[in-house]
Amino acid sequence: MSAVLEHETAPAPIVREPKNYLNVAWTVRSWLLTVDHKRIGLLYLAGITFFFLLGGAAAGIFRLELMTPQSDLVESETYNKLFTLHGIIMIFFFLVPGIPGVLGNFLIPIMIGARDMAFPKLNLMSWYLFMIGGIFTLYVTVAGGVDTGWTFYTPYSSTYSNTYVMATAVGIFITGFSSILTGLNFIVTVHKMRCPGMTWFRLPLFVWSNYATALIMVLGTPVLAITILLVALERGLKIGIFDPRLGGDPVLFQHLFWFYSHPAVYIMVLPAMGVISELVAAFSRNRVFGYKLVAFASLAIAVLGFLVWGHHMFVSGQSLYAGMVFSVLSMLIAIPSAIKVFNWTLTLWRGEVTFNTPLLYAMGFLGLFTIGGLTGLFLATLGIDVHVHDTYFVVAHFHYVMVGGTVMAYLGGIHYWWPKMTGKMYPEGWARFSAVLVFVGFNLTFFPQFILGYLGMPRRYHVYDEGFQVLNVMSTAGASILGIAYLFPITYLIWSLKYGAKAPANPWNAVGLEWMTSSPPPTENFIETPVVDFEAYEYHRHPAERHG
Amino acid sequence: MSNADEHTGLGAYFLVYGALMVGLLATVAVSYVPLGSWNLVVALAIAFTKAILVVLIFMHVLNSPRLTWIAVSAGVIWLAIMLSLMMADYMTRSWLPTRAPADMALPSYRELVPLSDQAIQAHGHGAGEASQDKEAAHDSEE
Amino acid sequence: MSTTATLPSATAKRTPVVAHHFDDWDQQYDACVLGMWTFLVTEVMFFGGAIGVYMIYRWQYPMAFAHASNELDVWLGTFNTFILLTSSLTVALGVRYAHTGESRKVGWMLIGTIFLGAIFLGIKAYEYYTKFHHNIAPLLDLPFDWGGADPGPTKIFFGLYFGMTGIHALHMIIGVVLMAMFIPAAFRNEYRDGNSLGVEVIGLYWHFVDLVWIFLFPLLYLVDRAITAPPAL
Repeated sequence: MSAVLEHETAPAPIVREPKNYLNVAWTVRSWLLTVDHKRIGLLYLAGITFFFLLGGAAAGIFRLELMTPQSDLVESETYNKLFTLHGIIMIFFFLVPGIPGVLGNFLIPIMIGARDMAFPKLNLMSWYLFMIGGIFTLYVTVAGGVDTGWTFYTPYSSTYSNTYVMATAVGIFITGFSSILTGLNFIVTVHKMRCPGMTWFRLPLFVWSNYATALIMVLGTPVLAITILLVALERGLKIGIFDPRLGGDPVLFQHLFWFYSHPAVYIMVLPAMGVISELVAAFSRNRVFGYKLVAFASLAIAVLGFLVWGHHMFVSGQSLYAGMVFSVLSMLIAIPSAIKVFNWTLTLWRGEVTFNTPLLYAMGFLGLFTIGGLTGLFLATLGIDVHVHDTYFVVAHFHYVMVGGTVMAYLGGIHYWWPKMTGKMYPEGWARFSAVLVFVGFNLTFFPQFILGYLGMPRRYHVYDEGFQVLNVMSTAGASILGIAYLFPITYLIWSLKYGAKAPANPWNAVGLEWMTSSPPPTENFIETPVVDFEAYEYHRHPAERHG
Repeated sequence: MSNADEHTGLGAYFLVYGALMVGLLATVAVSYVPLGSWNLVVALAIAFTKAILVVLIFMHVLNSPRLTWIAVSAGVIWLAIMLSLMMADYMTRSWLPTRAPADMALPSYRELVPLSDQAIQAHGHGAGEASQDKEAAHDSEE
Repeated sequence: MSTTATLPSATAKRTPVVAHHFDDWDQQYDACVLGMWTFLVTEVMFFGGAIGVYMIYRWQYPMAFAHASNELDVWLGTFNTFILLTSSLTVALGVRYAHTGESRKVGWMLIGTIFLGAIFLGIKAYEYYTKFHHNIAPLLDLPFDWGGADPGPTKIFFGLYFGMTGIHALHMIIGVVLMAMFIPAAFRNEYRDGNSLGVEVIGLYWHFVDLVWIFLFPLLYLVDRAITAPPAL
């Protein structure tokens, strides 16, 4: 930490800037046609930040509506469109491509000592597919919205809804291919592009978790694609696949949808776990405790994640026996998740902990993810789920995992690697302040929702019983704080591009290949191909292991 | 694999092609033999045999690194996961008794709280019976 | 060693151009082949979803599916399977010739494959036409004349038939276009050095399209030919 402050205050020496991936070319064309994984990562950063703001704005409006029990700010149809837009954008255009698209693209080749992804052009194509899908969604937003919820349940989506379902479906279909190609690229890159000496068990855990994520992307996303295609065929060509009037079964749609969409939550959270592994190790100056366990826990989550989708359908007419099986299997996911949380905690134990901004976010993650995960166990329990199904309890649960988990880790990761990505330091004081503000705002927003759900307030309604108002006002107040807290990093990070102190190659004194090249790295990452002769996280041996 | 066998091995492709043709004729022929539900089993068994031949020989998996084998098995295993867990729902739906057995039936509200004599007088005997019938219908719906 | 078809190791007489981010040709070759296999796994799951839908509905409506399946022309289906399996052979031979550096033969094999693929698509189109002609195409509120029982599930069967074979045909069209792009290079003798990577990757894709049909054919056309009573599952 003292090293950091020194670099912040020391006057920047006047030297000619060496060539790096940023100053190698300045034209718009050099960005839009780049095949450099680092530039593509920054392109994703721009796209994702935009969609995050859009999705957040939708949430802001309906949170304001929910301040009062009556319908005053928006009417019911607009409300439905707002929460649908919020869900679609946040899931398909922020959480799924977020950490893999920005940090994964930027870091994986550097972390494994490669010059680029295995398929750089495919990588660029992923970004374009992502943006084209996004343009469809923007069109839907401007043209009049869609009101099916992000889950597109049939027969409402295929037959009854008279909103822009087709355009949304096309957008998500295209974005799905972006996700598939990203996953494919990650898998091949990790298998085939590692530099000499970089064995599997020397890989940073961020790479492991992104590899596990890529497996889910590749195995799950195609099922979403075919599901959306079938709904589109039903809506567009009137081929009745799920149509109950013909004997079709809407629950079958739910099976196919959740076969992707449950593993998709692990697409969203696994990369976040990878970020946390890096942050915890770097700021406690300890090896990640139980490296192999954490690595295999990522794979275990990826595999088990495919066996539990039925817990979204406990009250949908699914067989009770299948429900029991899915309930038990869902419990199993808690094991690898808990392994990770315990191991991160043990990594911090007796470490030389410095509370820089990235670690503040990581600590936030640890607490909030634990709450989110444990309430997930409540929901996986068949009997309890019947009561809290489709209430705010579910909303609070997945926001604790997705916002308290993934967004926290994303912000922590962005701060941690910002010097590497841009060559500039962010202002530490402001960053710590906003990290705390995010934590406070988040809890004020979503903790009341646990209570609301437990008391029985259903989700997706814009009018509610007056008895729920106090908790809803708390939640809205928290959302305002959270909204402002998110604007801080966006502002000061952009500010730091021009005014930030120049970042050294290794501002955190961390280990890992990404800190052994300059900040920002040259176009092909390293001057010459590195040879790895050290283990991951070689800070010093972990105290717990020393004592055996 | 030396240069010597570069121009051999063509035979294997034609051998596999022949086997595929035999499989094609067999599957069409067998489909006309009434075997009940075994028709599906036989047809799928032949299809899998053909698929394995194509994957191993035409697609060269037989001589491919372990990673290719893993990729192929991952596809098959994940497909099996999806189909079997989906089927698990549909197969077991009918197992659940739609109505509780008679000795498990809970007493109705009216049995626990009988109408007072006054109420029966006020509404008349017939009305009381009708409402009980309605209740019974309601119970069975649940 | 001629009992199993082994690809001779790519004995490139001249090393092909290696892309900037790869260390050597072997790395590039391995990466591209693994990439194609990974893509094929995604395709398995893609078609798998549709097969799952078929499976569930066949389980729920065995008789309706049996009767509807018997409406399909089994001889056209068989002939098409024959065509597609043959095209798989030609593409496999093409890949082999690319390995051994017989570039022009690669070109002829690709042309043969495209020709067979076109025949398949033509027959498929004719089959679609007959369905429209007999008013059993459940698209766009067209008239649906079904004399038998259960018109609803029958409609679902034909919906799935059009959906699954349509997606399969779309994959074939993509494959034909991609293969056509390799023909000029083959006749320019560019595979004389055994640089078969491109042909090999497109070959894998074509074999996969063939594999899908190997399963679609019995599932859609055959399994209910002999069934007169509901299957006793």
